Amino acid sequence: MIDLELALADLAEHLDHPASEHSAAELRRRLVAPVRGRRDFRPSTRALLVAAAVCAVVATGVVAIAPARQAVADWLGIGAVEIRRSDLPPGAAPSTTSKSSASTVPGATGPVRTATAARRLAAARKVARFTIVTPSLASAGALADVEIDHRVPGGLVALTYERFTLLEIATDPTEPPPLAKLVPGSTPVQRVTVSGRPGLWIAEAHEIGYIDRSGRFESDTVRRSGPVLLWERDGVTYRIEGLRSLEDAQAVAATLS
Amino acid sequence: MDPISDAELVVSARSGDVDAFTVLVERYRLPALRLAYGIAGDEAEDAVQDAFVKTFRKLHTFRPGSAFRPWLFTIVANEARNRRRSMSRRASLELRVREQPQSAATAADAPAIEHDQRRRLVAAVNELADNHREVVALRFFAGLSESETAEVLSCPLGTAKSRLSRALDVLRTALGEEVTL
Repeated sequence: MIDLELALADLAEHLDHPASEHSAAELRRRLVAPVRGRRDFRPSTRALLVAAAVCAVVATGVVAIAPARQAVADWLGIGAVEIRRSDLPPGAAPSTTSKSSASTVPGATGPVRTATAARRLAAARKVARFTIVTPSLASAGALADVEIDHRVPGGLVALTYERFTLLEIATDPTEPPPLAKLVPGSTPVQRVTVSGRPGLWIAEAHEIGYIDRSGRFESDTVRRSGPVLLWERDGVTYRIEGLRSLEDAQAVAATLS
Repeated sequence: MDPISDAELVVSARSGDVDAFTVLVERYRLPALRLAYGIAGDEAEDAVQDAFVKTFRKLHTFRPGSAFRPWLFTIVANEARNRRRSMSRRASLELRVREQPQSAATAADAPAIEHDQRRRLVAAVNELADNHREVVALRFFAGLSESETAEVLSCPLGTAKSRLSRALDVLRTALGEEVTL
């Protein structure tokens, strides 16, 4: 004799339903993918929305977290950082923006794509609320795409080059978002100087967590990100993603003007 | 450490924060999959994927202050129903139980339900009418409360309760002396 309701609850635990190990990554790709047929939801906008969540750590939250996380929290408290994460495993790490840019200009290659990106850069410079800078280093490669999102407080511009993505983000310091991202202390984080300004180099794929308004930190064990160089200057946060070496990233950063 | 609430995550996800939405996905993926499996069988995974994508894109229509869970499961159930309607092979709707044996630790803690009993129970569930199977999936596979089940079904609580009661009666009849009331 079995209790039917208990048996049904037990059955739920033993159903042979499909559960692909790749479904989470596939879902994420779809979430950041272009939405077709909606003029107000362009691919670039969607990609930027993902990239756009800008964080500023609430002061009380910084105090509440572990010392090992303090370095990152301190830095996050003075700037902004985009939160898009790669689904690729640690060690793979190319920019997802690079992928989206390929679909942004369908079929475009070489000079055609570069010309399109140049036009977009010129248009972005006319409307951005801050001065958009670009690297003059030849090894940076060609500019492949430019995206801008005005819905991010203060504005956000993403410049996609062949080898990396450069994000330039201005934030409204009077309106911090309710959630913040934080790199856990278990991930090596190196304090660096970028063109005379304090910054961070996160050389490895790293986990992401959240800080709520009360300062509690909760790790997200699902998402990971690749190498990133972060720094802030004159109210704009810069992020270079996709370069494997700190020296390469700093070389690009040094030529921004 | 208390987890971040659904409401907080929804606020962030509404502004385009995929990471925040991913936390919601991980929180509800398994019950959503069980619900979709109960309604659409082998189409469950695709139904859940579509449902989460639609949920993310519909977040701007979500009414602040209302419960996220029944809203999400309404979308999951709708997607699963759509899949069920468009399926050509009825056989793929048939539910199965996993065949692998339980671990010793699980077996020790589990209620005294034998694998053969599960198979007879799932066979009985497979014979339920669609509306009965759906209410069973909402209440027991997804683990929704009676009021949440009613919300997903867009019906009064009493209607949901009576539908569930009838579904359980059908199962009891099918299983005969094997179950208690």
